[in-house]
Order: sequence, then C-alpha cells, then structure tokens
Amino acid sequence: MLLLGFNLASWPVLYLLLQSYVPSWPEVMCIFGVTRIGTGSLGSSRHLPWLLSTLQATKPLLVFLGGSWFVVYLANRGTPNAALMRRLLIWLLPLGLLSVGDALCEAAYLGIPKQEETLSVGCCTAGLMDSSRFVPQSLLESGGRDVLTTAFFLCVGLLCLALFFSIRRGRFQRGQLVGLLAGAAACLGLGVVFLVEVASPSLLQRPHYCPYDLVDEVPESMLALVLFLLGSFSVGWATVVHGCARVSETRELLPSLIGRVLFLGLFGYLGSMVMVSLELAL
Amino acid sequence: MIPMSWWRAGLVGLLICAGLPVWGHWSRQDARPRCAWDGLVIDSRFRVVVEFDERSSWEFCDVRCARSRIAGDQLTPRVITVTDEISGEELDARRAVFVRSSITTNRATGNRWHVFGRRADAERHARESKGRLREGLTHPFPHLGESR
Repeated sequence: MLLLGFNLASWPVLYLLLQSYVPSWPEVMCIFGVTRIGTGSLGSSRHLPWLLSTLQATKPLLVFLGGSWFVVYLANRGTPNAALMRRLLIWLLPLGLLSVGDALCEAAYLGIPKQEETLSVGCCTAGLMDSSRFVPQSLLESGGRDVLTTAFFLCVGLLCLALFFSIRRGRFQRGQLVGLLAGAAACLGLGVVFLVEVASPSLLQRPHYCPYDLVDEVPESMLALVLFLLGSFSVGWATVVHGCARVSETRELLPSLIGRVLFLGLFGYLGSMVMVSLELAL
Repeated sequence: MIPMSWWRAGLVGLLICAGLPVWGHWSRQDARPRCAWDGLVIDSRFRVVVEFDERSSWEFCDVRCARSRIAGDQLTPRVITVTDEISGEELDARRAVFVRSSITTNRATGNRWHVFGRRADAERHARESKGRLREGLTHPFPHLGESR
C-alpha cells in the first residue's frame, strides 16, 4: 500500500520538480524546454532527454499496475480463504521491478549535472544556438482541429453511454469489457492529441502547443486531466480484475466490484468533459 | 448494483467540477499582461501592440514575438505600436527606427530587435553593439511599408 501511495505521489511530484527547474536556464520558458535540456550535448547531460522520456512513461504505467493490483486485492479481501493471494504476490513482482527501474532512472536524472557541452563555444554561439528547440510545434494543420474536437467529444460521449448502460445492466462479459477497453484506448489516444492541439492553445490563449504550460497557467485544468486518466485507467482496471480475479469464491462479488470501478471511470470521463467544455467556452 | 448514494455523490462531484473552471477563469482576470505569442510577462520597455481593427489588439513582449505571430497566422495588422528603448514612449512602428544587433533583450525569446524613437540613438546603438539599421525591405514589419 505504501509503495502504491509513493508511486501515485511521485507522478505529480515529477512535474513539480520539472517546473522548479524552469528558472535555471534563461532560454527555457516551460517544462517542455526542460525536457529538451541535454539534446545534442556531448557530455553526460545527453542522457537527460531519454531518462525523462522513460520517467514520463513509467509513472503512469506504475499507477496503472498499482491500481490493478489494488482492485484485485479488494476482490481478494471479499473471499473467505484469500483465494487470490498467490496472484497478488505474483502481480507484485513486475510492479516492484518497474518501481526499482523508475527509481533508478529518477536518481540518474537528478544526479546528472544539467550543463550542456557543445562543440560551438566561440563568439558565434549566440547565432548558432537554435532557441526554437525549446518551443513546441503543432502536429496538425489548422483545418484538422475542428475535426479532432468533434471526434474527441463524440468518442468520449459514446464511451460514457456505453459505460452507463453497462453499469445499469450489472452483468459483465469479457467481450463487453474488451470493447470498453478498446474505446478507452481510442479516447486516450485522441485525448493526448486533443490536449496538445486544441486544449493547450485555447486555454493558454495563444498558439502554444504545450500542455506543460497548463500546470503553471491554468492549474485547475490538471484536475480535468487527472479525471480523464481516472476514466481510462478505471476501464483498464475493470478488465484486469475480470480477467485475473475470476474464481469460484469471487463469482458473487465480482460484478458489484467491476460495476463500482466502471462507475469511477464514468465519473472521471464526465467530470473531465464538463471541465474541458467549460474551460473552452469561457 | 451501484448504491444510490454513489450516484448522488457523483452528481455533487460533477457540480464541483463545473465550478472549478469558472472559479479559475475569474481568479485569473487580474493577471499581469502576457505576451500573445509565448505567454511571458511583458516588460514594458520592449512592449509591442498590434491592432487588427478597432476592437481587437494583441500585446507582445518584443518585436520578434510580434513578427512570429503575424507570420505564423498570416495576419495583416492595421497599426503596430512599439516602445522606444531609451525614453519608454510608445510610437507608431512606421515612425520608429529598428536595429538588429548582437544584444539580446530576452534570452527566452532570443529577441535581438531594438526600437528607437530617434535615429541618432539607433545609430549609436548599432555602432556600439555591432548592429544594423533595418529599413525598407529589411524592416521588421514590411507590410506596413506602403504608408511608411
């Protein structure tokens, strides 16, 4: 439980740490710039970008794995003979290994001096230094943004309807949950592009395709992001618990547990959509 | 089945979610003016204001940001107001003298454009900091050239 708590807390703390680095370099305006420190360097700081990319991938993975373990643990608690104990212990192995890997990457990132060493050190450095590498670029043409917005809201709306009717029905089958998981994965992919291409420039009120700036300038939008991730993860957790915790002793309690986890997901998606819609409208 | 209390709690949660953007928007109303290109807080010594019509105008932290936004969005401004670095006075970009020199006004944006109200000040800056006066085709806002 303590490990799960630390894993959960370390995710936002990573971004707070990166935000605290921003004033360290005059060229850097936001966290995006911090993620680019070390690019093209010849010194040890050349490892910083990939270490940070790894950390940004392992943090959500740890939260997802930890959450999956916790839901299976809840199912196990409801059984008289702890029928899922062996599976819980096995589940801890990848979780522990990933936690160690994440901690090593973070320690290396913190330990490496963040000073760039480049070949150009003469008087022309200022002219050669490309400060645009610290500015995030758009991925889409302007015409694609309306299509993206419509697709995103439509996709999440349909997923919410599917979740609502699944919860109301109260019975869950493998195919149904896999379908919901595919929908959640599609929404997550669309959501990432929507965040960069539509939400960030709209909320920041300038053509700046950088969700990192929202941490500092529109902090309440982070809650919308957290709720969206809660929605996506909950659908995944429900699928995992259906696949891993289905034994004779859990047959009675599993539908109720899956229903509650999916309810969390529905709440996450709806809360996120309400917040994003209002943020864009204001 | 989901207990009714969960649905009620969810509804209250959604209402709180609806209130947060409104509160956030309201709390940011008195924020310091920020650049319409990179969001940096505007230093009044290098401020540039671009007007498109009677009602809409954008503020930028320096000439480079204004040029980037105008070029990026392919906009045609009506009036551009820049700030004289020496006196701090605002003046029409058509009357200002621009110098591009080795001195960077803002390391985050890399702006090396300098604005002067008097030609003598601009020439002195250009001489002292290995810069060049930018006029005619090299003017930072050439689309204003017709009436310049």
